[in-house]
Amino acid sequence: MENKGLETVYRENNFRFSLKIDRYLLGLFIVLGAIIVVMSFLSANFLTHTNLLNVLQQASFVMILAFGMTFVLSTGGIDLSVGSICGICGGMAAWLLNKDVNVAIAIAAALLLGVIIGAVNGLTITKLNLSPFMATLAMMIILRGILYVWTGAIPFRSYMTSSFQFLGSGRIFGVQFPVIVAIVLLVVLLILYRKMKFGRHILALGSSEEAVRISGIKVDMLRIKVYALSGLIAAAAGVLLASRLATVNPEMGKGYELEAIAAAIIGGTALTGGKGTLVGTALGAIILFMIKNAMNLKNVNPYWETIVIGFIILLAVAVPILAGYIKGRVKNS
Amino acid sequence: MAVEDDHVLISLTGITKEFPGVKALENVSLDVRKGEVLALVGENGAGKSTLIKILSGLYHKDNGEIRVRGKSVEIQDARHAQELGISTIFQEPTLAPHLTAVENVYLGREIYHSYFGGTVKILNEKEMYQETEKLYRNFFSTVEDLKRPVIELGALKNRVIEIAKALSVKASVVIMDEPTAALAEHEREVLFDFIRALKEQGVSVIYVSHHLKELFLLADRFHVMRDGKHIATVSADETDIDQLVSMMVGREISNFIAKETVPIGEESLRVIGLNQPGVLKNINFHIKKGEIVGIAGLAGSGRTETVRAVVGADRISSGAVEVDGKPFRIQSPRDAIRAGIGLLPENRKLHGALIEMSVSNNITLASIKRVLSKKFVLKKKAELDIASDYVQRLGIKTPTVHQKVRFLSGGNQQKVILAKWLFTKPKVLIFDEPTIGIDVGAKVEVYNLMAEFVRGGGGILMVSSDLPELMGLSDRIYVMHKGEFVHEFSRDEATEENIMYYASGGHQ
Ligand SMILES: Nc1ncnc2c1ncn2[C@@H]1O[C@H](COP(=O)(O)OP(=O)(O)OP(=O)(O)O)[C@@H](O)[C@H]1O
Ligand SMILES: [Mg+2]
Repeated sequence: MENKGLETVYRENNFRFSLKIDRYLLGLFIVLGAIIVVMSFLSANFLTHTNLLNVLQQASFVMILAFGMTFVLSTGGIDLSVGSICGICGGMAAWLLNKDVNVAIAIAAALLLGVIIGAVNGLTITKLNLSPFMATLAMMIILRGILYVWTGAIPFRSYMTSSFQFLGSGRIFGVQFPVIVAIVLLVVLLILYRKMKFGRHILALGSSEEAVRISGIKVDMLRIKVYALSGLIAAAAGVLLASRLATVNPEMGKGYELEAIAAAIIGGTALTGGKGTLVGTALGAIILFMIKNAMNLKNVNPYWETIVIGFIILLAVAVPILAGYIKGRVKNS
Repeated sequence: MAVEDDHVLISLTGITKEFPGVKALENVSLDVRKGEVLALVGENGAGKSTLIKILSGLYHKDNGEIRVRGKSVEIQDARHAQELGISTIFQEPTLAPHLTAVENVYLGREIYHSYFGGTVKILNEKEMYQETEKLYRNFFSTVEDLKRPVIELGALKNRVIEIAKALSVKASVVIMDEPTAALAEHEREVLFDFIRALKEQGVSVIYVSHHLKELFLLADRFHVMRDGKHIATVSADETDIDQLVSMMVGREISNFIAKETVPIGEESLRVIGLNQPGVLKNINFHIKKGEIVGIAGLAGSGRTETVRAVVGADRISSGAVEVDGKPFRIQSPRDAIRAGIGLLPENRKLHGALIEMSVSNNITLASIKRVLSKKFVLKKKAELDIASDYVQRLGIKTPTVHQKVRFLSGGNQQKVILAKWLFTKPKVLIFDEPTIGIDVGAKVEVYNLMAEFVRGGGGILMVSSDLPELMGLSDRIYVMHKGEFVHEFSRDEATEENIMYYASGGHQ
């Protein structure tokens, strides 16, 4: 060890510092590759430029939500309200645009609303001592109710302006704008998660709250920030979705929270906190939507989709446990 | 109490703290002088950790005044305590298990690269690594573990990381709550050197330990507590162990280990040719009924590994175990319990108590059948009687036997686990460091319970780093060195010198 030299140690250290490719991530890439290979044989339409971009575009909304979810899950919490936040913030942008408010202001207002809702989640969890599950479940239901009342169950329409339309349907170098947003967000959040204090503290919080408290970090504030971030990200997804769909119906974003959680779990983030990967989450979302796409192309009854996805989640949770079990066995014998 | 005295760094006056049903601190006053080592001593549950947690910002006092450098302060939280120059090593493990050593050491005070005029701060992993490595190197010669999640390292290494973390803070007062409980001799000495160096730099140290002998190597003054009250503060030159003990317990107890002569019976456990590649080499030993057998050795010599292998907690490559002369296949601790072998593990935090359950449930848990009538119905009264009996004998300080173990002091939690294993009444009991973190009064009671157990025909195997304890109790002592049993002493032959001779490999 001594003569290994410090350079080696630093190089290794820097490697860890860069993209953290662990075995699980590698597994995800392999799964993804396998799906692509199998599907390219089964359907001529699958491995086309258009179809793959479409999969990415469909995945991008849930992927964005799942990024926020990864942060929340890393603290050992959960945010069930993201689907509703997505709906209500999209609604906010649409409503303001319909009132001829400037696009930038409308978007800013929608994002701010997301942050506020997220912060309220954080406050109820920390100050009222509610479990994240209960607090965000309640928030999810309340927000959905508000959206129904607000819209009067009639979708918001005719708010489109050409600049706002670009967000959902525009393309840069042929790639849909939501996909670009997802990629940029991934890079920014990756830095926040892996290379900045915030991410480090979040992982520590999910690992042991006591340790974080003892280290002199303000635990409540940290939690509130995490839920606010999740709210902000959900609001961004909502704005993109409002632009993409050109109408905001009161059901918008419903069920997205579960898909976001599924993407994060498939990606290798632990529900118990302390462990997570954003790259894995992105892959998880892509795998999820690629399977949906594949079943779509093969004309499988859409109800089957849910069942299959349920099994995939089960598999994703079981694999690391089984791997750990086998590893333990080998080591012990 | 001369608050203006600039030798006094921290001064506490009339501190009171109450928990439901427990007055943990009652009107406690204490001065910490610049550059001194102040030893905080008292029985389990005396209030030492509570006092420390108040100073560290984890608990808030109910009453009283805290002055730091003469200025009255209300310590809000851990950050505030750090800002006041107070750094603490707590009694319980406090690391974030999924983070690495480096990440843990710098948690909450990370080093950055600043970009865009300080608006973006990126963690400077390299520098944090280098700094941690420097600290770490003082304790270990290698640095291989710095990038692994600390959960994968042992209790001992975790302890060292906690110490490194506390020492890496520029503090004017370092508080240590039983820092050496999991440490090996080598690290212990390094820690002591650190403490002496801190002293020289004018840093004060508050040091909590039940190891009074160890304290005399370090302490300038002793602050004695009993039942949440301050009893006395004495200078180290003006006191001795006996006086401290009598102040701590408030009654006379004999420090002397009276060895009972018990008739030695048939062989009850025999271990033959135990091997574990790279760890244990051809371990052979036996224990007879009525015998207390000790295992001596330096830390890392394989003592804990031996006992863990015997009860099937770790896999072995070869070896056999005979119980009462009959071969017994032991592949897991469950098998061991069925065979009548119980192990009180060294690391009780990980393998010990169910901290959310009550004291009485914990004590009877492992032998639940004995408090069942007609198989299924719990004899509530029997359970409570048994629990109360142990609580009384071991002096477990708790408001009632229904209290959750979580709310007991560190040493009292240990006693609960000890009671649990004593109550299982197996054929052979294996103790790994039975009296770590346990106060003087309770130690004697543990010894009595051990004597009672062998009187009833049980056999005891015990690992202890406390040589006087080991020699005082054992009928025979095996000495380990580098994973092998290198010598066996009878009770009369064993002296500290010749045990250490074999333990350190002097025979080779
Ligand atoms: N959070 C809590 N809730 C209820 N009671 C508590 C709590 N913390 C400590 N106590 C009680 O306060 C008393 C003092 O405990 P403390 O941990 O300060 O003892 P200690 O002197 O550190 O003992 P030890 O040597 O065993 O570590 C004990 O009776 C304990 O049961
Ligand atoms: Mg204590």
